[in-house]
Amino acid sequence: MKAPRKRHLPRAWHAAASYVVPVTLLVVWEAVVRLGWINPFLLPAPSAFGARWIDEVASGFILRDALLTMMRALSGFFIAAAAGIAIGTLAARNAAARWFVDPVVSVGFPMPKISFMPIFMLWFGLGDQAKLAMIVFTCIFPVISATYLGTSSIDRYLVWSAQNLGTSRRALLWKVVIPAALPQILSGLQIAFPMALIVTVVTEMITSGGGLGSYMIVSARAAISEKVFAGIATIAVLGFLLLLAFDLLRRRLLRWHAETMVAI
Amino acid sequence: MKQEGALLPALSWLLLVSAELLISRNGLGYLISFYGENADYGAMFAAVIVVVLIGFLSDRLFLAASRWLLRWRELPAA
Repeated sequence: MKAPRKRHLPRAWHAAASYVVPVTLLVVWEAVVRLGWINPFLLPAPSAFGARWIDEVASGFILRDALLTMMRALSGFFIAAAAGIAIGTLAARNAAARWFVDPVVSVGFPMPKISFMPIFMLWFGLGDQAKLAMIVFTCIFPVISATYLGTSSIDRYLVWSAQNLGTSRRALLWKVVIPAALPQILSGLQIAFPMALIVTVVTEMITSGGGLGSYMIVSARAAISEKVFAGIATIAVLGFLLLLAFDLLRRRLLRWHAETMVAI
Repeated sequence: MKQEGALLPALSWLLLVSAELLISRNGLGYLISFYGENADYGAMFAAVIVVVLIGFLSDRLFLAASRWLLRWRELPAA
């Protein structure tokens, strides 16, 4: 009996196949607008806003705003990451800290932190402080929660063996607890990061002061829908690239972990 | 923090209130920005607290529902 032979397409075909859907969607989008089925003001054709996007990138205006947005999102994200990992680890290891942090996170995680934006504007004004405070306030909860769960659920045998071999408390934290909890901590950061981007754009839309959010809202008020779509395209590209970078970083940091052993 | 907080309810509330703060003619987000613009901060804080309470309750509901739906799953004793 001969096993039915599997027919393999060349690798290039597989690579090309993954582009079929997006390209088809773009073609349909372009055709629908060209045929006049949709008002081009409400939904500009990809060719129209693509040309506009290249113009905006070439003139450098959108790049300046994109840079501002990235700076805010990343600063807020890193502050939240540093503080959140510290608070989460502390809460897992210290009963008094847990008693304090647990209810705060239980209420703080699910609530829509953005509703504090008018209050933050009242406290910190319209500048970068209010935006940064908002980003940190939003991103810190998933980080605390993930770090707490990660550091409090590590394998006890790891800790016991390290203690048996005479590891000091400080080394135990840095060499055993944090690395063992790293997969979960990174998952928390991966949840927090898109939130940082969302909140940055929303705060920029609310309080202005440059950045892609205010670029888009100003363009929308001036009724230049192509520029709004150019803003959306920029934030999409930036978000995609940053998430890609995050994925690479995760794979690099977790080389030792089983999840990276799986062939991808 | 016994359980990982439910992410999607939190995210949908975040986006809903953001959208209401930006463009809306009613809803709690609109109420917050309306009171804020009129410097009626007491009322603004009240609206914020209502939003917080709704977020908290929806989270608890979601967790209760997921516990009930996943009651067949053997969990390690909490």
